[in-house]
Amino acid sequence: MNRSPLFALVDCNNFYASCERIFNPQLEGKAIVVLSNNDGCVVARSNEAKALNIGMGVPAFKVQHLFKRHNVRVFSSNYTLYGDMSARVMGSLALLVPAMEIYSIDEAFLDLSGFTHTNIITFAVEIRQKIRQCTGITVSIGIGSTKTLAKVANHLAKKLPAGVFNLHDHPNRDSLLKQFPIGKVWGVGRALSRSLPVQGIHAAYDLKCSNPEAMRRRYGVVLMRTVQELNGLSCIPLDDAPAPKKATAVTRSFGHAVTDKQELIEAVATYASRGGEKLRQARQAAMMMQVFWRTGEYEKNQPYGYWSYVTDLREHTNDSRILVKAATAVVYQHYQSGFRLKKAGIILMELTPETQIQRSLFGTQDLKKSQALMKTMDAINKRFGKETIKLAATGKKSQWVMRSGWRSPRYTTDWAELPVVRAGDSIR
Amino acid sequence: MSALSPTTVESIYRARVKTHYKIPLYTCPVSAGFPSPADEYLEGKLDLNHLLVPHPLATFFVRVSGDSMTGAGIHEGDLLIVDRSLEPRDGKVVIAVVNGELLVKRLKYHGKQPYLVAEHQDYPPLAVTEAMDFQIWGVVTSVVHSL
Repeated sequence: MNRSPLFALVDCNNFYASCERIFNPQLEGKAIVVLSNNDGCVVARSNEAKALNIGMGVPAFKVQHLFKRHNVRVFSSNYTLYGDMSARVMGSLALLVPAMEIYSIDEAFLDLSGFTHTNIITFAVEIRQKIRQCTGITVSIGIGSTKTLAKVANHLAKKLPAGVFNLHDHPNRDSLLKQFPIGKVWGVGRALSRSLPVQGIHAAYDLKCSNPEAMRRRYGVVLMRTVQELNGLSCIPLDDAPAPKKATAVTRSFGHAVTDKQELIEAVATYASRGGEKLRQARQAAMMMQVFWRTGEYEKNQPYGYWSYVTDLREHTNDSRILVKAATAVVYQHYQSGFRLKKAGIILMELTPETQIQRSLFGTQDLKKSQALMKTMDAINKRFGKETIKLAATGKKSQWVMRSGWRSPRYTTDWAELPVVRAGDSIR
Repeated sequence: MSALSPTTVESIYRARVKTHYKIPLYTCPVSAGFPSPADEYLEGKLDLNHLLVPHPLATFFVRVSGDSMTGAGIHEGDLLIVDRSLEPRDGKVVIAVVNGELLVKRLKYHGKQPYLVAEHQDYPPLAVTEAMDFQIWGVVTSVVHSL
């Protein structure tokens, strides 16, 4: 059996906008944008919104006039919904292929090696149809002998009604690569997309024909691998067991300027508590914690300030009480009044798996007791909703919680926010 | 018939649906010496998820507004379990998208012509036409009605 590598890159078309449309079909064909946390920037656009020249990542206030003029539907990001829909797409893919790598919230690489005796296009069309039927999400599928070529194929697939494209063994592969802009090649970032054309490399084909050794010396091993992959030599394997995270962060921008020490303490305490939750979920513990807060970046006539401190937790922990205590202590010690703060966060570092925690000679935690308490807290919050049980330091009223003015309902994860179907009166 | 048939799964990253299938080791406290004769017949506890949600990745829950389907046992405020992986066949209760709206109706075919039929005498059947923006959203498998 021929087991030469064959990859597919499956990605969801306009993922966030599509998620909104599944549960609100009136949005089909309409211009939709989704805004980042705190309704700051545009993070997703439907095709109709792209056609209005609303760029990716632009601050919302800059294109507000376009929203109004063209009746663009604006949504705050609904990550709970998007995360759930992503899990459904990824879970469905996992049932259809032997190995896959989840690359981002809406992309996955599939291992199709060994499928060469089946009609690969038929299979890809089947995958697309099944995902669409079962989840409502439309995906595009690009196939190639390397991940990089699969990514190229995926870009080409998006332009086809069938949504599927196989670059492997394609007779016109080189001419397609000649028309493929270098900036769109996987692994070529913004800086390279400006410097490579200066060297005469304008299209993927040019990069393919370049000398890999010379590329390695000039730009590093990553670009060399890209060159080799463009030539059909697979050197980036499927990563189906990503390394455990090295750091976990919980950071948020504030809905309004925070000018009160107590408010900042409550915010930081909440982030530290959430950080503890994330660690426990990942079965990890942290040894170091960075706490930071800062003013807004674009405020006229306001003093700018940024405070950041790293604290040693003395021993590995994921006990929220310890994390909250350490984080709030930093704020108590270093807070300066007179500043309008817009963002704060904590970053937990030096992570190790729970099972490998070494007790320091000076360990003061009663580990079993703290684990039991944390486990109970997590179970209650899981059953009755986030933050049912909170540590007192995290405060009762959360005025600094981020703005999500236009978030759609959590259609798939909240009993109170389910879609409503009409068994109704006469249809007009 | 389902669009997804179970195969051996090598890796799944997030199991959103966690079903608890509690299997007791013993049905009675084990006292020293004598195992219970019932121990040979141990079975798992019953889990509604296994009965009602065989395809969790393709299953969604929706609420009903209106009374046109009371004849099918579907009332205002009820919860419907919708399975998108099932094929919509003649006679199935479905969620359909008609002109941008999510409706719950029974799908009936007269020859090749599909109709969306209510289960209430006050509501006439609706013929599905080309002009209509029509799509099947999913098949309703169960209704949960609180008494």
